[in-house]
Amino acid sequence: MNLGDLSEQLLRLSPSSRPDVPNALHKSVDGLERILDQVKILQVILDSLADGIALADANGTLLYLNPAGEEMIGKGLMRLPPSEWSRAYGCYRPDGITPFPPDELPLARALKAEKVENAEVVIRNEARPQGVILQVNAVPIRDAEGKLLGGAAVFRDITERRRIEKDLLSKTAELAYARAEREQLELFAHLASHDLQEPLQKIIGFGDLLEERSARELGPKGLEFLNHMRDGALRMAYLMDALSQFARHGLNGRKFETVDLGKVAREVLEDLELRLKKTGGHVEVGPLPVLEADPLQMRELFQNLVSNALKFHKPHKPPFVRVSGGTSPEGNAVIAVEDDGIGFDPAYVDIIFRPFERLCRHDEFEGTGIGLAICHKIVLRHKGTITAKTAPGKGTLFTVTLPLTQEVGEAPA
Amino acid sequence: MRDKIAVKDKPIHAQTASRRRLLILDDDDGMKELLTEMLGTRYEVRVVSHGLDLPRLMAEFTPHLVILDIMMPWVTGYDLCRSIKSHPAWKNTPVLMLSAKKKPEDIELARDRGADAYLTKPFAMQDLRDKIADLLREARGGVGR
Repeated sequence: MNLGDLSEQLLRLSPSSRPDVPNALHKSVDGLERILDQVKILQVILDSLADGIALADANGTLLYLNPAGEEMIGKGLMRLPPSEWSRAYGCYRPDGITPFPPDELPLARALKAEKVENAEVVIRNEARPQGVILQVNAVPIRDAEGKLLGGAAVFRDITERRRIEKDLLSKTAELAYARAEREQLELFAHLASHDLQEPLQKIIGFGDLLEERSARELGPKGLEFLNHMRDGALRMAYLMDALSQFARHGLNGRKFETVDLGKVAREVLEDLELRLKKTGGHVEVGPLPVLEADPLQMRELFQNLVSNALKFHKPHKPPFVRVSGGTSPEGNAVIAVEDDGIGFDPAYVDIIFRPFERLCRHDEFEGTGIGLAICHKIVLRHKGTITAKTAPGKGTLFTVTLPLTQEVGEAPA
Repeated sequence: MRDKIAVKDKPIHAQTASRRRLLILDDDDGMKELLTEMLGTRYEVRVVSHGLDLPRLMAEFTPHLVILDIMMPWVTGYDLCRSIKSHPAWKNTPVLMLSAKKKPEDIELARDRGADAYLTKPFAMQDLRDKIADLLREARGGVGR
């Protein structure tokens, strides 16, 4: 819309154009020029606004739509009465489906002397097939005596905002759901593993009685079968314990505090003394950093990593494990646990951190496949990483990086 | 052919005067039968499902050892253990707790209530018998009968 147009339209709103003051406009050329100057300034302002502006006269004829408004709606000014606006521009209720009743459109209501705030109108037409959500304020325009001259609507495109809000809502809901689901799962795993011990007790216990009292009737083959049954039940109990232990991990994390990993490593070695004696193994511990962490979980992390390193040693060769640490250039604590054991195919590096994944038969090496999964869980909770470097027969190097400091406040469970 | 063995609230054999008496509290029928079968050939066993009658049982049956399940109706094994251990006449009677609970805090709580030993389910028959024999041996010379 050009300047002349707007001047003409605005002049129609001004008292000077009214029939009751037919000569006002002509009172002085100065007056007219002053008005035109003001109109020019007004036009510049309206044209440069980021918000959309629409003006209508008291009869309901659209007079002006600023460029921002045209861009939002996708259509230019059409001099139509209010009854046609909804259809012509494609105005819908916030549901995006129900056509907006023409007399309820914010500007139409403003023409009925109503002030409308934060109304929502969806515009969908050929130019805007995806639909645009507009937030609209509309006010009546009155002259000095309070007589209604027309109405103005100011609107902005809130499509993106609504999308972000919706995303945020669904993400929040997703997060809450995932959390609830995780807690339920952990609780379930814990209860199941506890309640399943009773039936296993009966399999094992009555199996023991059967062996004691009916060994002769069972015969060697029968006793062998019975042993398989009891072994199976024992192993299941063992796995259930591991499952429960893994599940509990999410439930009771402690607060982060300053932890001396060197001290943690020494304590873990004391616990492992018996096993070291049995295997003739040796663990060398270098200097380790001090960081903010859950002290019990750090202990568990070292316990699991070192036990793991000791366990998978080569036959007839006592295990040698080196634990070392330092600080990375990025300011993270780095802990390395390296062994000279059997190693494994690097293709399985990611799998070993999943619960109950085992790369070997359980009669070769004891264990439930839960230790490294717990390590992974602990490291994740501390916002760190754990990786393994290995090759068959070449030993394994586990590297853990942990932030030196944790965010203040409650530690995540 | 073996004698049929009573499960509920009855002495197992008639001629048991010289045998040591075990009082077992467990509300699970299968567990009651299992424990009776495992221990009834060596000890005089009485099995009950809850601890509401504990004072009467302790006074009448005068057990040499009490085996408690933790999760029982009305009164938990923890509370029963405390009542036994805080009673002047029974405090030296060894208490063995049997439970599928195996968190360190569960075991700690049992110790705190005075339990002399804690066996987690599932256990092997031999472990149970060994544990009981140990506890009875330790208790002998104390207030043993």
